[in-house]
Amino acid sequence: MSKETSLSCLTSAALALPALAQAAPDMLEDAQVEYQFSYYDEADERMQARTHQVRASLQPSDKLNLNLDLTRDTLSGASPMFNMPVEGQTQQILSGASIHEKRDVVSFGASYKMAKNLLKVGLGRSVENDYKSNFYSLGLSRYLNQKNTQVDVGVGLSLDKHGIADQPLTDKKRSLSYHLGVTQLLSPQSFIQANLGYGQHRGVLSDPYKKVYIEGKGLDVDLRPESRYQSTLSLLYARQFKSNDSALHLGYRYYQDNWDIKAHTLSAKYHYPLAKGWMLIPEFRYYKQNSADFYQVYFNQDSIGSYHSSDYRLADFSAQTWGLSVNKRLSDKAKIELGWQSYRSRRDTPNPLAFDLLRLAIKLQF
Amino acid sequence: MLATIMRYFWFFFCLSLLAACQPVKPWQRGSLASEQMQLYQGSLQSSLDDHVYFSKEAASGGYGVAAGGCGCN
Repeated sequence: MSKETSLSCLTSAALALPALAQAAPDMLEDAQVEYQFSYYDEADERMQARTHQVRASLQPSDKLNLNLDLTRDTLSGASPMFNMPVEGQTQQILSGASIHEKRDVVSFGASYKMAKNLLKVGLGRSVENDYKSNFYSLGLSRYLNQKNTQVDVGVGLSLDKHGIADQPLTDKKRSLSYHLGVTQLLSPQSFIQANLGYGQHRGVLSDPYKKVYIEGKGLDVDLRPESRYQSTLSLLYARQFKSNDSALHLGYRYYQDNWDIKAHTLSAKYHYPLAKGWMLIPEFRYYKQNSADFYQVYFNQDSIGSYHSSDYRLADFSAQTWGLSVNKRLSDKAKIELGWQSYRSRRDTPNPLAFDLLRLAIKLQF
Repeated sequence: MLATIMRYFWFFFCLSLLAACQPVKPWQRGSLASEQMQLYQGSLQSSLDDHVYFSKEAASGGYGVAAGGCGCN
C-alpha cells in the first residue's frame, strides 16, 4: 500500500476554536455523543474508504471538559505506484486492486477553563498493519481585551513507526508542530482569526510502496530527504447577516516547505438557515500547489538526483471541491446532517485525482 | 520567507488590536454564539476533511497543532 510521508494527518482543531463567544445554549449540556459515517470513492476504480467516527464528550463541571474520539477506516482498491512512457504517452501504473487495510485511532482530550485561560491536553494512538503513531498535544488559550481577543499557543508531538505491511516496523519518524493563533472580534456579527504554524518532521519520509521509473534503467525506489520543515499562515473570517441569520465563512491558507513546495488554499462556506430547524450549507474550496524540487513524472539517467519521487501528491496541480450539506435539528437534543463533497484535480500527469465523499452524522445531547 | 510570514502575522495582530478599540460587549454576542458562526462546528467533519486532504495533497496543517501520523493512500 502506498504511504503518505508527512506526519500530521489529524489536526487538533480544538486548539483553534474561538471561545470568545459563549457556546450556543445547546452545547452546555453535561454529555454529548456524535457519530459520523462517511464513504470515500475515487474515480477510475481506485481507492474506496468507509470511515466510522464516534466522539463522546463529558462536562463533569463548568470548568472541565473531557472527550474521547474513536475512528475506524476500512480501505480497499488500487493506488498509483509510478509513471512510465509507453509509445510516446505517459502511463500511470497502479498497484492493482490489492489493497485491503484498516486503521484504528483512539484519542483523548481534556480542557480546563480558568478565569482568563483555557488549558488543553490531548493524546492518542493510531494503528495500521504498516504504520503506528503515538501523538500528544498541549495548548493554552488566553483571553484579552475584555474577551474581544483570544491568543492560542500549542505544541504537538508525534512519534511514528512504519514499514511494509505485516513485517517488523523499523522506519521511524518524529514530528513536532507549533501553533500560534489570534482571534479578534470585529463587531457583534463578525470575527477574524489568523494562525501561524510550523512543523518539523525528521526520519524516514520516503514511501516504501512508491517507485520511480528511469529511462534506460528501469525501476528504482522512492527516495526523499530525511527532514521536512513546513510553514503555514491561515486567515479565517466569519460574518453573520442580520437579514436572514445566515453566515459566511471565508478562509485562506498559505503553505511552504523546504522541499520547495508552495501551496494556496481558498475556501468559502455559507450557512443558510431554513424554516423548521433545517440548515443548508454549500461550500467551495480551491487548492493549488507546485511540485517538490525532486519530483518528476519519470526520470532519465541525466535527471535523476540524490532524491527522487514520482508520487502524484508531490506534483504540480490544482483542485476544486464543491460541497453541499443539509442538517436538521430533530429536537433540542438531537441533530442529523447529510453531506456530499466532490473533488476534481487538474494536472499534466495522467489520471488526475477525482473523488466523491458522502457523509452522515448524528449528534445527541444528554 | 518565514520572516515575511511573520511580518504579515504581526501586521494582522496589530490591526486586530486597533479594531478592538470599540470592544464587543458580552450582551452583544448572541449572533457570534449562533451555530452557523462556529468555525469548527461538527468537528468530526473537519477531522475527516483534514484527513482526506492530508492524504491527497502536499500541504497540510495551518489551523492547529498536528496530532498524529498515518499511512494514507
